[in-house]
Amino acid sequence: MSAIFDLALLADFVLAATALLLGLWVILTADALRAAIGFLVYGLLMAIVWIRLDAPDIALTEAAIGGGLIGLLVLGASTRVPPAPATARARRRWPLHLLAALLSAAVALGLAAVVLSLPDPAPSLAATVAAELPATAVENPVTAVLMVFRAVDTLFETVVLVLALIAFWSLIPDASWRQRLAWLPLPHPSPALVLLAQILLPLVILVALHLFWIGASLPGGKFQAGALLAGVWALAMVAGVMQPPAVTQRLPRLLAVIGPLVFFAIGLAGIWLAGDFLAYPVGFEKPLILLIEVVLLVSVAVVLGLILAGLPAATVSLQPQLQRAASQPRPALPSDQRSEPFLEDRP
Amino acid sequence: MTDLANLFTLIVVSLGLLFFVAGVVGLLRFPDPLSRLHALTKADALGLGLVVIGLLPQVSWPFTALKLLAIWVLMVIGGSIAGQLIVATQFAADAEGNGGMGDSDDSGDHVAASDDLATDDAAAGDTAFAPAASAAPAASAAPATSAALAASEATAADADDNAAKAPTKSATDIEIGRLRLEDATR
Repeated sequence: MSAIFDLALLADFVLAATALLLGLWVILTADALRAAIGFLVYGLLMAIVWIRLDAPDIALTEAAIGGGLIGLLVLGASTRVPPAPATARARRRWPLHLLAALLSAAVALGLAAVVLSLPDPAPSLAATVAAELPATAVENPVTAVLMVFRAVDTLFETVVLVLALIAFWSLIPDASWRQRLAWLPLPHPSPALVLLAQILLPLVILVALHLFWIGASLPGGKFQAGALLAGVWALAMVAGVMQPPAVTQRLPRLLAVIGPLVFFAIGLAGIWLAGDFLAYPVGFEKPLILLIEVVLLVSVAVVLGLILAGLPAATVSLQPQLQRAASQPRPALPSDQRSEPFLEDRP
Repeated sequence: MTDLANLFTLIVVSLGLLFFVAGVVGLLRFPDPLSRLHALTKADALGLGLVVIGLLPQVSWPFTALKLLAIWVLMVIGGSIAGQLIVATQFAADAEGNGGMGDSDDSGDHVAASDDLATDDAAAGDTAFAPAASAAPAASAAPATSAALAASEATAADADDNAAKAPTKSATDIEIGRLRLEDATR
């Protein structure tokens, strides 16, 4: 049997072809809702691709964030944006589309050229990380890189999350600042959905804690667990099992920033106690990393959940006019019954 | 002993995949959303169940095996409730008078009709609602159209078929649909 008929290779080929075709379809399809659903499936396919590339940490993140959370955001956006007006304008924009396609192809080909021209074996720090791993008190090399060797990257990634939330909230019109975030709750959630939320809420919390805890030695960790918690929080808000918070409440805000704050404080303390920013004192690595991971877990879950929870319903509604203007039939999702697209309602 | 276990795995997992194929064929061939959903959810639950049972002899007892079983139970819960939600949406769409997601083959409301991949539109749209596990087999198994499988599924789907054809054009009918759903959930 030659390697060409290798079953694993065949499966990889099918997977890659499916991902490419699905990506193409998502770009080419004209209906925003269908494209959003396709994108959701694309995220799950990418998770399988990462598994095949032996990167389970990334696969978990991709499944939770790329497939789940971003999929939900894109889905929500696609039901709020009015359908594109007829083809006359779209036809005039084909040079722009061509340019975008050419640039994307150039990036893809450039990346492929770089990857293919790497020397064999490719330069890698994996051996160095493996050699230094015992000093970090964690066993999963990915966690060691994230929390010890490149801790400063992780710190500012979490700061970026908080900044994203602030930028998102700055879209809220003044008039509805004090109201609850209102994108997710359905007016009349189906009893089946409520049941699902009630079943999944405790289970997913358990799974998330498990995923968080094994992150020290196996694939997993705070980002994946935080994304899971955010997802199940969103489900609970959709089904009305939990009330979405208001922007003005103190607790969600505090929880959103506590992770980066504690991380930063420990990093600063490292200057005095261990001689460098973000250095951990010898003997205290494990408890300090655990403390940082716990607060980061909380912050990641809260920030992602708050972003998913969307914006408050606008007080002044132009909904009837908008609906008449955009009365093109389309597949109805439960979310269609919700009102108030926020962008059009701003003064 | 391991040979026996391998044989068991091979047979039961293949049987499970057969159910997935049946579900995909039903998804592609059945005329209306309710019977498509019927084919898909049944095949999903049974197919995944057989795959999990087939894999049990290959994994370590107890934790990996229990995880596999937990995945199956969660998929059954998630899949069947997702089915309920899609049906509720379909009832609401029927009552509103637009075709909902079912009649996309002939309603012509999609601008995408001009692009090459649009023929797969209806199928791809519906597959996306299915649990992830069915999406991957769908890609490879789709061409294997089997008339026999479709026929056996079709008889089973008759009940749902009739339910779909009942006139649900008024507000009271949505209420009836909702009550029916509530009964089903209890």
